Amino acid sequence: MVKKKSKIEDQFFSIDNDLDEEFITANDQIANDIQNELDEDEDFLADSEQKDSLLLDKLRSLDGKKSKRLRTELVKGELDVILNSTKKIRPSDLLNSLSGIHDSGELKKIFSKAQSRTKVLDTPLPAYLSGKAQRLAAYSEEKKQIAKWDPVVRRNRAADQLVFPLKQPDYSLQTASAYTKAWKPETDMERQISEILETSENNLTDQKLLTQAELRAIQAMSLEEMKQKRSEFLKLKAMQMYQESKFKRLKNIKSKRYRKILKKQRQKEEQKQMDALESNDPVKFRQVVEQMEKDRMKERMSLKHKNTSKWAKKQAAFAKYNDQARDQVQQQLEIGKNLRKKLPQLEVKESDEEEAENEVEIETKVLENNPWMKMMEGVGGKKADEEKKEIASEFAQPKAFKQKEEIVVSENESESELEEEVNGEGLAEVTDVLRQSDGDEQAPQVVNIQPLIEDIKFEAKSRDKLSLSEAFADDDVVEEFRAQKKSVIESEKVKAIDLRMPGWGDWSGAGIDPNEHKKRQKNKARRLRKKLVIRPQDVLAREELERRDKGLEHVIISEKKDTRIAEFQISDLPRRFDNVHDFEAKIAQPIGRTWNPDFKFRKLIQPKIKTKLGSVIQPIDKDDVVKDIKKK
Amino acid sequence: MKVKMLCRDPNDYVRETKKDIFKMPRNYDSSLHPLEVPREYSRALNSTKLERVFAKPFLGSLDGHKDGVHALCKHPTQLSILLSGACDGEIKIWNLAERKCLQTYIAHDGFVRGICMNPSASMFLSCGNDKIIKHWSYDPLSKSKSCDAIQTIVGKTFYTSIDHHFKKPVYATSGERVDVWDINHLEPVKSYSWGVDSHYSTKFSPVEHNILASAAADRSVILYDIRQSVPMRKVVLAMSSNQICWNPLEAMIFTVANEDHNLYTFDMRKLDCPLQVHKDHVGAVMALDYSPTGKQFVSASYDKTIRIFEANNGHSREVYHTKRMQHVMAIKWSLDDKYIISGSDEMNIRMWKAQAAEKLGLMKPREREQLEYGEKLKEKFKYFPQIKTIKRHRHLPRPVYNAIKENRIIKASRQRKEANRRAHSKPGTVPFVAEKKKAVVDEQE
Repeated sequence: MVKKKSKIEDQFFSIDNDLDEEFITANDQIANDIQNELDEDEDFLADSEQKDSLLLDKLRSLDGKKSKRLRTELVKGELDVILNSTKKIRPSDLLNSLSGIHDSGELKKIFSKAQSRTKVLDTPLPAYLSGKAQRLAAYSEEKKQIAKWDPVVRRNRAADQLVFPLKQPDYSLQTASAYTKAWKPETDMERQISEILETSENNLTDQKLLTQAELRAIQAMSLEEMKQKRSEFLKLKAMQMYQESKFKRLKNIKSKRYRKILKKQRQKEEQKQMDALESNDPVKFRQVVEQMEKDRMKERMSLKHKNTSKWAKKQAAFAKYNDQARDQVQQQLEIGKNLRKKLPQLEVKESDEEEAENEVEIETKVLENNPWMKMMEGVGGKKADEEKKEIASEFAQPKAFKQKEEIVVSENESESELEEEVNGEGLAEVTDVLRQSDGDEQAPQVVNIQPLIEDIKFEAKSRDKLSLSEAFADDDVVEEFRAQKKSVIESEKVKAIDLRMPGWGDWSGAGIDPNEHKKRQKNKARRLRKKLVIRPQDVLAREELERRDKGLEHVIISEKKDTRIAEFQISDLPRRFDNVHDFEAKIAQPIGRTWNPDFKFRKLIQPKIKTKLGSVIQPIDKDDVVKDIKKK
Repeated sequence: MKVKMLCRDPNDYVRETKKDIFKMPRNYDSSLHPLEVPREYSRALNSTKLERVFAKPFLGSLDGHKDGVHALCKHPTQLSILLSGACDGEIKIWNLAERKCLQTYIAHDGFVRGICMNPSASMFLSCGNDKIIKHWSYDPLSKSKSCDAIQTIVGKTFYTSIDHHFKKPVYATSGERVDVWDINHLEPVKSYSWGVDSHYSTKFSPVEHNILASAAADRSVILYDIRQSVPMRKVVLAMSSNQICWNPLEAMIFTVANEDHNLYTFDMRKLDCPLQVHKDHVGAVMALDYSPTGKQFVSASYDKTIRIFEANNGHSREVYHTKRMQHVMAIKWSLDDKYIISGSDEMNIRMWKAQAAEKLGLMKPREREQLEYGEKLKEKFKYFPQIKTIKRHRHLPRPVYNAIKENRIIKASRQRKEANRRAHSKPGTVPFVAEKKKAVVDEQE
């Protein structure tokens, strides 16, 4: 029955075959167990029923009435024989009893045949039991299946970092051929285009050298014609190649001279063109020249081709290492220079020499008229004179003298340093002397200040070597510390607890003799003190009362809880740590960049879960996990 | 005269390009840095405080429903789409990014109890109190905005929830029985019932696709395998459960939202004792949803709050509430692990951030690094009293606050009573029972 049911299910939900079998065997076993239990129960019931009926019959016979259930009793008796006999009765045994009757042989044959073929089905279980059996089997099977996830779950829980989505996209590149193979035209236009392309005769396939159209063209030509065309084609191709190689060669020439020649040629050409223009089309020539003039003006006004632009500065920075950058800067300067060049005057038709002379004259005139230039001349003149003199004197001075001067200079330096270091009185003399020497540069005085300096230095050193006691002569640190310790001891001392209340054990009022009362009072007070004042030495042991810093003169050990530190202390060890040492080690390990190299820092701050912005995270997939495991 | 002057060679400090990074010489010898722990502690304290300063989890609300929202459904592949069903029988499709309603369907008579979408997102299904299951086509690109169902199945009894299989065209409904349907059939393919006449909710496992769990009215949680003709196992809790959610990362783990204000996380194989009891709510927990990373879940409660729990922690790490939010009946965690969407009785759908203080949008690497460093520091020093208090502190609505206080007193009183009873009876007669075990009444085969 169970098999039947599971087969029906098979039709709908496909289950793995082996899984199905396992499930069925488990199911059968449980069913058998339950059947056995059931049989035992029935036997027990039958026995008790039998006894009851016998008892009833006996009671009825006491009344003198004949038992009506005699027949059934007899049958029961027979059955008892059958049921109670240890030997099992087989159908063949029953057949043996038919031995006298004819045809019995045939009957036997038929019976044996039938017996060999058929198998008797078990009685079906009651619904509630079969359901339970199925449930048990299903659950145990599911448990087994789900246990396969255990290593995955464990791994994910222990992982330092989980990156979601778990299924990373495939980043492998698709080749063009793979793409085109997979591609299929979808829209109408695509379909039309692909149809045209496919049917075209100009498609070149891998196998053939020529396309269909080419082949047809070749076939259509005569041999002569073809040869001619071919030779023409080859010639053209060869020429093209020569030309290309020539240009390449020319381009690669690095000779400066060649380049200069080339440039001159170009300039000449340009000049020629200009001349031609002048003679042929003066209007246009004029325009060109005017334009050039304008450009020049603009260039002179602007800083466009000077090295002041942002770009130029950047290039200049690169120039040290980058030849290209340097060239570019140079080029720009060149452009500027060319643009700023003077142009030939349009009207002036005189010879070159005259022109030059004129120019010089104008320049001098301008210089004379310009008050700025005059001023500059005066200053420049003076300076130049001085420079000349200096140079002359330098050459005139003997070598030894120069050296002395240098010494003085070096001592000047040491002077300023010393002034900063020590403001000694003895120094004044030296500085005075030196200042004098400063004032008269032409005739420097050589003073030996070495011994003086040494004296000052010695003094400074001896001052450094003051003893501690001298330095702290005014404030008595030792005594202060002692007092502090005393106050700490006093404040931390365990104090006696006084439970006495005012007025206890005291009587007052009329009829009390004050003297007698005083005496009594004294005794009473003593008794009360003994009873109600709890002294620390009565409760605590001597070790507990003793301070830990008793013998230590320079130390205060306080055993009081410091509330300010308590803010930074945890009371219980966190659950994930086994001992205090581990926890402290964890806290002592810094994470920050200040204490760790960069790569370590990046590693330490990795978050436990990393997700990608805007991407959907799907649940873990069995197939992916299996793939991952196989890969590993 | 020689002039002494400071001199620096620009080659030593001027970068040639922006990407030129000079190595900063640093000595990492720990003896040279005696104050590293105090410095990191104060950094951790600062970032904990900043976290609380920037904790603004509420993003906005989607209003448009005319009755309480009791059903929500996420789009399986698109983050911006959300479906919601209200008590007046309306279903709305929302665009979360623009906070706009895209379409409205008059779907059912009475409550919409459940909505689910098929894995390819070509259609969605809904069921309601009117004993009807409807199939709707979902095609955002189609121009015709027809509001008619493509299939209407009239059932014999009411339906309380609906959930789609994660791979196959099969879905399950709960009601008087738990039915498994094929999408192309008008009759259920299978029906499961096990001594109970009403189921509150049913849910497919996202990992082991054929496993199904349902919460029933007899306080039980029942497990099914849709390949079998009978249920697998039943566990009876002290009070009935309202909803079930499976962990999307761990196949055997599921959590139930219970009427007794708690949530229980179970291992499917050991139903006699929950793995974890999640306490903190002060009202019946109506709904829950796992984060797609499986490390946390969010729960919605009748006490008008939303709480976020770590999956392996007994207490919530976060509580969300607003003045106007009433009983929260439905909750979802968005599939990018960033947002939480809640539907509540006062007709609003609310969007929240899953991490209250998280900065949304792209970040520069330096900023991200800084925040990650802060997170690690908070994690490192989280046991320290100052940081712990700042991190845990939340403002709560007065009723919730008072209820928590009251619960604390009740718990203490019970413990005291038990201790007294134990002290005054024969040793061994009053056993110690773990809090976890108290939740499970019976496990039936």
